Amino acid sequence: MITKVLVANRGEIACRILRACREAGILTVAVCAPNDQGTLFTEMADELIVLNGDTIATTYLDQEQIIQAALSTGSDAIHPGFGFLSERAPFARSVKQSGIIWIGPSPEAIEQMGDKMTARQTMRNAGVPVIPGEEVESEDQHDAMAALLSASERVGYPLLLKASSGGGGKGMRAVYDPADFLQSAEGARREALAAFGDGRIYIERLLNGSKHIEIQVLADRHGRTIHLGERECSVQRRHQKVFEEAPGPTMTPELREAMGQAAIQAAQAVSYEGAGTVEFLLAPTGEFFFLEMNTRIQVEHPVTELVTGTDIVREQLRIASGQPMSCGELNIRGHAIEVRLYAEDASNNFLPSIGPLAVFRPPEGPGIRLDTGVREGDDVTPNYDPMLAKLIVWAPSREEALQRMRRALDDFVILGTTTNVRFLRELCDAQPIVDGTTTTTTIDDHWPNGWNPIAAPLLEDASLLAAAAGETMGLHRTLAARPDGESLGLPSPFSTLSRRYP
Amino acid sequence: MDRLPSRVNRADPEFSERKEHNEALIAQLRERLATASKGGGGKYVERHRSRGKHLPRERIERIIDPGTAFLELSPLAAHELYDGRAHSAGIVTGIGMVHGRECLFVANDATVKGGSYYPMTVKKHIRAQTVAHENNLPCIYLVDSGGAFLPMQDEVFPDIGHFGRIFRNQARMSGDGIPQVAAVLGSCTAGGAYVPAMSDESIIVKGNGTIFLAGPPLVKAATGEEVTAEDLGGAEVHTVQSGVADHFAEDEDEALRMVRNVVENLGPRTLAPAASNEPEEPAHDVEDLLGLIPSDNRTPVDIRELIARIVDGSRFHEFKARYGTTLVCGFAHIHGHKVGIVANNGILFSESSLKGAHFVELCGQRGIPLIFLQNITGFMVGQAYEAGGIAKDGAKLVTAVSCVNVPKFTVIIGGSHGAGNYGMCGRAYDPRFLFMWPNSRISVMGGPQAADVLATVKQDQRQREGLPLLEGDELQAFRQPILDKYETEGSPYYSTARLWDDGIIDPRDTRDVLGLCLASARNAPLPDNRYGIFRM
Amino acid sequence: MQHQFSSPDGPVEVSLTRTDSGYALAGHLLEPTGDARLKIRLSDGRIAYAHVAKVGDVWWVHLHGQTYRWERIEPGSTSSQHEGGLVAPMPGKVLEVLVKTGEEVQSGTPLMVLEAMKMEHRIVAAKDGVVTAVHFEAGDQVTQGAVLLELDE
Repeated sequence: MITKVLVANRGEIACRILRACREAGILTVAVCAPNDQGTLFTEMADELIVLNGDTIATTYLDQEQIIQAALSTGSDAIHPGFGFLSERAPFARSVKQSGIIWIGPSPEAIEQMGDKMTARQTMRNAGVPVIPGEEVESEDQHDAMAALLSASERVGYPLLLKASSGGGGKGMRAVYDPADFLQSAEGARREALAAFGDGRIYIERLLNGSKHIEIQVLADRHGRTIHLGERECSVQRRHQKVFEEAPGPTMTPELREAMGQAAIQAAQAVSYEGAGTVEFLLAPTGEFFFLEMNTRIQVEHPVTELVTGTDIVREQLRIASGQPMSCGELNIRGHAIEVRLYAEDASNNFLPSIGPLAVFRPPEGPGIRLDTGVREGDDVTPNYDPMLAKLIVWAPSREEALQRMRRALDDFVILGTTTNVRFLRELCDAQPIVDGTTTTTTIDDHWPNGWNPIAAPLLEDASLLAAAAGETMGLHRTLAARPDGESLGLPSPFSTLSRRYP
Repeated sequence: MDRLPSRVNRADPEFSERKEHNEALIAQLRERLATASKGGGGKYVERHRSRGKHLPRERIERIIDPGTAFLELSPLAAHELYDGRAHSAGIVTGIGMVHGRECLFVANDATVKGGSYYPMTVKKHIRAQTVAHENNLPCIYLVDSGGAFLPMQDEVFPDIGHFGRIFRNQARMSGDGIPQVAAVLGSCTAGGAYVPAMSDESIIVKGNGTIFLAGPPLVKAATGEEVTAEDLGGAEVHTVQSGVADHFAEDEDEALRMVRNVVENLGPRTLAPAASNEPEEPAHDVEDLLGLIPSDNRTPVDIRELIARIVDGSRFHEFKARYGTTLVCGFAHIHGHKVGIVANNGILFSESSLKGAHFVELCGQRGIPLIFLQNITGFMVGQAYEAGGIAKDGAKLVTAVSCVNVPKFTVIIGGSHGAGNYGMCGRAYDPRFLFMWPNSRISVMGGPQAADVLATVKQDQRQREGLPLLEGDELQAFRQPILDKYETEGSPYYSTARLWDDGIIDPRDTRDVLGLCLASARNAPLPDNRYGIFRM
Repeated sequence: MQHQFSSPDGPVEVSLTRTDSGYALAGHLLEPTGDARLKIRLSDGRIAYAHVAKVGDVWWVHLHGQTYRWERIEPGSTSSQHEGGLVAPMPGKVLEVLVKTGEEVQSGTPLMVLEAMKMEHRIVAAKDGVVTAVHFEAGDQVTQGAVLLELDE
């Protein structure tokens, strides 16, 4: 049995896990970097350990410190969330060796799937179809470049360079012209080396016009490995997903079964345990190819939860404590869509932005779920990933779900930091989204010169009126003024300041 | 009002260099303040607490309105004096808000030599009373002291600025309608007994609080009478029989609550009218100050870059911007209070002095408080300038600064040397408050200049006496002690130890500290303007 | 009541008309609501509630699903940015410097590669010109707003 969980993560996913633990009656411990103190997730745990360090490497990636924190607080399990240490096999191994339950698959499974090149080989052997391509096993920069160049000729263009230890779009480059190959390969290698400490790169055929379909799997220690249907996550910018839905709009029950079985096979090939996601590319021909398996909870898991009625994090807790999973027969109901809200400037190549969340008012109403780690008054800093929230809607049909998402995005007020809310809102009107014919290149195809908001001169004028009137009325000052300010006019700084001087 | 532009380049290596230098200076200041705040430390603090007593800063904390600011004055007084053990000179003074009203606190620290009065303790106590008197602030005395430090009685007892002045000030302030409130939280012996006795209203704590002219040992020696301290001058005696104290407190916490109640029932106050705006943070980053302040006072810096990080919204309406450019004058707001700023931007010439005098008069006429940002090596010297009458133009500035009626506030942000100190409202010109930045220096002239002057005098003397002139190592040996002396005595810590200022502040706190001072100063009405003769 | 705001197309002059209950501009009527919202009767007759917040000099306005940023131009103020300089959009590390001092570049030429949030960002010339200074080299850490290089037209 698990009685106390340490959540080795931050932000939105830490909140998600801490809530699930509380619902399950499990005590919680949060860990945070000093610069995360006071953020939402740190207030949601029963105990908080502030890690010692000023970089990600010395805090959220410091395996020893985190295990120490678990031991010192008497935690009997660690949930890694996603990112950070979630797919580090050595960490999973040390956790287990310290006598702590690891909420995730075995270190061996992580290793086999974590190295993308090994995973491709394992899947090929298990009879799961993989994307045509070549792995290059060379540590030496010079040899690797030569081998990659000759491999590129065999694979053919366009092609995709990927980091063997990759994820999150880091170390990934699409190459359309052989002339660009070397520069792209060096860039990919450098980014991979910086992000993962491993510069090995492999090549895949770039299957343009394909859909990104992934299957959620669950496996327990009682011999059950099941799938919870698919999610379509084709819509990506800079190789990161922004719009995900379940079920896939063009999915048929037959294809779902075929892909589901392939996913179960993939999981069983590595004796998988817990929650995982098998990603496939679905080509326009109807063929599907194994991309990779993510051996952790996935960012977009809520859409599956909403259409299957399963609480995947609760199932993770059950499985890790040795209980059988509670899922019954797969029964997909209605349609769910998730969009990822980022602090970024969608009109400027999605460059991350920072600033205060001076106003943060999420939408409300039936069928709306918000998974976030921030609240009004927080600052968006450059320290971590700029994802602010995931907005998820559910409705009986895809069309109604899209309508609901449009309304929800219109109602979402975020002031003080540039976000992609308007971009997401216009995305919901893009023809491929409406038709369900999205592919991994939808955003680039739809906005070949980059996205810019559709002009609304009437509203623009009205907003200028609001700004000018706000300035004229001194609204910013009355809003900031303390309600108990002295009526004599000027409040004494003794009451507006609260420090000791000097 | 126009906003000042900024041209700061944070990528400049000089910026990072200065930042590093100033951060080190601030770290040193923080460390020294932390040490001082421990008072007598160790066993003295333990013994103090074992009697149910709080440290002086904790006492003040319990009296001021929760969540409000406290401005401590001269926390590093007596720094490195008296064997370096009399932290804060054994007395905590400062301004805090009680029931919405700015009050001045004087709190003895009994963990430092029993709270007895060293020369600097007396000076600090009297300085605090001056602040209260000039700004019309009610005085709260938290008494816990054995009286004068006897081994130094010749430096604390008889003179005009010594112990007796404390009680004279109480009487005069009370006469001017400035409330005097005392809480007797410990012993209050001999002269000290007059603090509660001279107060308008006083509180005494059962057990710890005692008031008597002579303690039990002295009584026994004088008359043979044997009596306990409590029976001689305890709370019971003074609230029931003698009437020396007015309120009886069961314990210290109750006494501190009573102080609040007493202040709540003071009469109404009138604030001087002040031109004001809604307060606004500076538009430019205050943190940049540390990258802007030069590591060496000789390096010039555009003073407007600093002003832009001290005033509200970085807004500044400059006066006579094109004339006498080495002195920058203009209007701005600080925490909403309209102020006139006079700031050095180089050496003082005739034109800059005339401009300064004009601007000071202007502020006096309009009732606008003046802020002096002092960074000055002195007035220009040389034949042309003497002939041009720099002495009389400098005198005009000094006259204007001396006589102007509005509250003046001085911050020494760099060098403070020579007559520049006078023209820019040094301590002798009665600024309501004077603070220093950790990078500042204060001395009659710079060390090298002093060494040059004294060496020239010496050489002249040797020449008259027919001795060979000093050269090489000999000359260096003559100069070095002078340089060392100026290095030591020019330090802001040397100044603050001797109460030449009201404290050393973090440059980034300048706006806040001035805001607190401006709010305090509003409690006093403005006197009339009466200038002396301006030499024309 | 005259105000100046900056927009991508240059400064915009706004002059408000005072009405009995609020302000008017281009046929839109605005009334304060007493909180952080402003009630606006749009010129087409619809009613909208604008959420507003001022951060620094920027007014943020959310209206009918659109968010607008209007940077108020303070009379007499100038930007604290170094003129002609190209500044780091966020803190990060310089990976590569692609140009040398004295080099002529055209608008769109990549000048520097920066790594921030583990992603590479290209600093691109916004206009034609000559590189007059390069302040960093590969491996240097830069803070947000640091002037990376300077370009003369």
